[in-house]
Amino acid sequence: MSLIKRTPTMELSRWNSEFPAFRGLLSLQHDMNRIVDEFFRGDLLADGSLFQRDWSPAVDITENAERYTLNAELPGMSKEDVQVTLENNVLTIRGQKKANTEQKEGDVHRIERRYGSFERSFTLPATVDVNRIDAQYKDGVLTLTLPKAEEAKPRAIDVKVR
Amino acid sequence: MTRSDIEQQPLITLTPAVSIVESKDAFLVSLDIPGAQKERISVNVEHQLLSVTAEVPAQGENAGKQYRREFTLANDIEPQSADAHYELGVLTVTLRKKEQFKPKQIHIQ
Repeated sequence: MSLIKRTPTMELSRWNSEFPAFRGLLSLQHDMNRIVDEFFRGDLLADGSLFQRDWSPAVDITENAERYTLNAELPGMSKEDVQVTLENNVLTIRGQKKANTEQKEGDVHRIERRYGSFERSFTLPATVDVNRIDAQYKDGVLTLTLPKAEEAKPRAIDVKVR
Repeated sequence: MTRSDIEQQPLITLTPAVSIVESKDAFLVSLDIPGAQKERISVNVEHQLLSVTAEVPAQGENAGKQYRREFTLANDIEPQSADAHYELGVLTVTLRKKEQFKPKQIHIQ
């Protein structure tokens, strides 16, 4: 368990999934990242109970000409348990996922689903119009829409032939 | 390689994380399936095999996903009793135990 809580900040726009060959590897990579994360965090059991340890939700980030879209998987959480903040161009999603009562009372055979608090931060590119960021939560997915500023959108320039 | 090449690819198949909890009269199997639509989730119990598949359709730049997982059921479960419920991205399947396997209090005469 580290003394200082690590809050990794990630560049929003560095993501690149243009190569179909990697598509099948993505889910494997996702699982591997989780395992490696857990291992290096080293506090699998040290930090309170098994149910309360920190976790990190899976996030997909996509971009088109108009906007960036960030989808965070937060199954089992209600809207009230999730908080999105923007500070110094850093977007942070944090929340707390509580174990349900059946899990507290019944005999637990297997727990792969994650509980406890989480926090994930992303540095926004300067092209995002921060005043128009929109957040929606549905069926366990938090969707953040980050529109690009008008001047940052790609545009075609007419080439004049003289 | 263009965007449309990527869209031709089959869906990514993922294994949903599960928690299995046993109570006095049932097993509760909860699976994380964020972003699915209720109509595109299928839960089947056949020959003591519980299989769950769900599809998350592609949306905008996001590729679609498919979730799939199977569980072998012990013979203490009443297969007809299975009942499923999807809320906040979590699918919960309740499998009731057969009467003879439920814990009973035995009175001392």
